[in-house]
Formats: sequence, structure tokens, C-alpha cells
Amino acid sequence: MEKIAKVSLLIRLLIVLVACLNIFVITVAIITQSDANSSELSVGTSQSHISQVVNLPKSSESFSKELNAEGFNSYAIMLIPEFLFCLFIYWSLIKLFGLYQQGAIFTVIHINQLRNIGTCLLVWSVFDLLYPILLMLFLRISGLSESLPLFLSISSDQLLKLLIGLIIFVMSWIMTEGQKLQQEQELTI
Amino acid sequence: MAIIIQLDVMLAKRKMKLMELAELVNVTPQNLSVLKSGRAKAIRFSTLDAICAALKCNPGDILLHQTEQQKDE
Repeated sequence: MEKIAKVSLLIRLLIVLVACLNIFVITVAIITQSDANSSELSVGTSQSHISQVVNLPKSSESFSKELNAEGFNSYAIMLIPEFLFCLFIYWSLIKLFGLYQQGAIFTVIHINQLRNIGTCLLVWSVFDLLYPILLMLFLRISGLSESLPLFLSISSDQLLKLLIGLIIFVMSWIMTEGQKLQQEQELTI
Repeated sequence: MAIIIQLDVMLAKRKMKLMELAELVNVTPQNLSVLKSGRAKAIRFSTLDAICAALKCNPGDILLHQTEQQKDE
């Protein structure tokens, strides 16, 4: 149990670090948006540098080109919603590993966190599919742009999110059964 | 549940307290309380054996089966 607590603390710190780096990189990418679909951010001297490449979702690359051509900040439009999903997952993971750190392994809260992550990934994959269409319809209806084409694409990213989301969802379901078994074990005198 | 635990009856007959029994059978008072209140889902043979030895009784003195009909009456 002590080992789990130590590893959980380490993972929590790592998640916080990754989340901070992600926020920093995306903020810089949005502010200093280039014409290309990916921007490279380098920190450090010419001899040693840390670089982080910000890529738009593969399914949205051509759509972002269209947005750029229309004069919109495609990074802001495409990355902010994506990043909100990421933030929610980071937050859920931090809470989940916090529970592991406290020694709660088969608890209802812990299972709910796992289910939230799975649901978020499922919603995210559907959102990825619908977002360009909804956004474009909004831009057309509001009169901000009339030349943007209708856009629908399915990429391996979306399928991967869907698959991982489903797996995590099923895992949370199995955990619920585990929690019932543990409860029964606790009530065996 | 159809199984009724009569631990409190036996404790009263033997004039023994729950804490004393817990010490004798090496089970926490909390767990014995769960058993006494009927919230327990199962009882191990080893625990039942220890309780019977401590209270000098048979499993039938502690566990009672009650049908739905008897319950309604």
C-alpha cells in the first residue's frame, strides 16, 4: 500500500507537470500562431533546447487551413475545446491518483472518477466529429463567413479516443463489481 | 434476510458482554456488532466455531432460519 501511495504521488506530480507544460505550450501557440498547421516552440540555447510540437487534431488539419484562409485564429478555435477535454482528464486523473494515495482503491468515488474519464473520452471523440460542422454552421448562420465548405472527417485519433473511452468505461464497470465483492468481503465475519 | 442472528439472546443467557466475546473469539467488536445487528453477509466456519466455543452452544442456538410466512406472522 505504501508503494502505491508513493507511485501515485509521483504520477500526480507528473500529471501536474504535463498539464502545466500543455497550458504553456498551447497559450504560446495560440498567441504566436503561424500559417502552418503545426508550430514548434523551442526553449533554451542553440546547444540544448526543449522543444514541444503543437499539432492540431489530424481530422481538423484541412479545416484549420480553411479557417486560416478566412482570417480566423484556427489554433484558438480548434485547440481550446480540445484542451478543455484534456484539462478535465488531467483533473480527474489527479483526483483518481489522490484517492490511490490515500489508500482508497475500490471505492465508489474512485470508480466514478474512472467512469468520468471514460465518458469524457467518448464525448470527446463525438465532439471531434461534430465540432467542425457545428462551428462552420455557426459561422455561416452568424454571417462571419460564407465560403467555408462543409467539413466532415473521421480519423484514427477519434477512433482511438472512442476505443480507449470504451475500455475505460468497461473497466469502471468491472471495478464496480470489484467494489461489490470487497463490500461483501468486509461484511464476512 | 431469512437467517436470523440470535447472538444478543445467547449473550444475555450467558451474561456476557459483546466486548468480552470479541476478546474470546479474536474478532473486533465492530465486526461482532455487524454480526449481531444482522448486517453481515456471511460468517466463516472458524468464527462460528470460536463463538460456539466461547458461548458453549451450538450453531443452531445462534443462527435461526425464518421463512417469509413466519416473518409475516
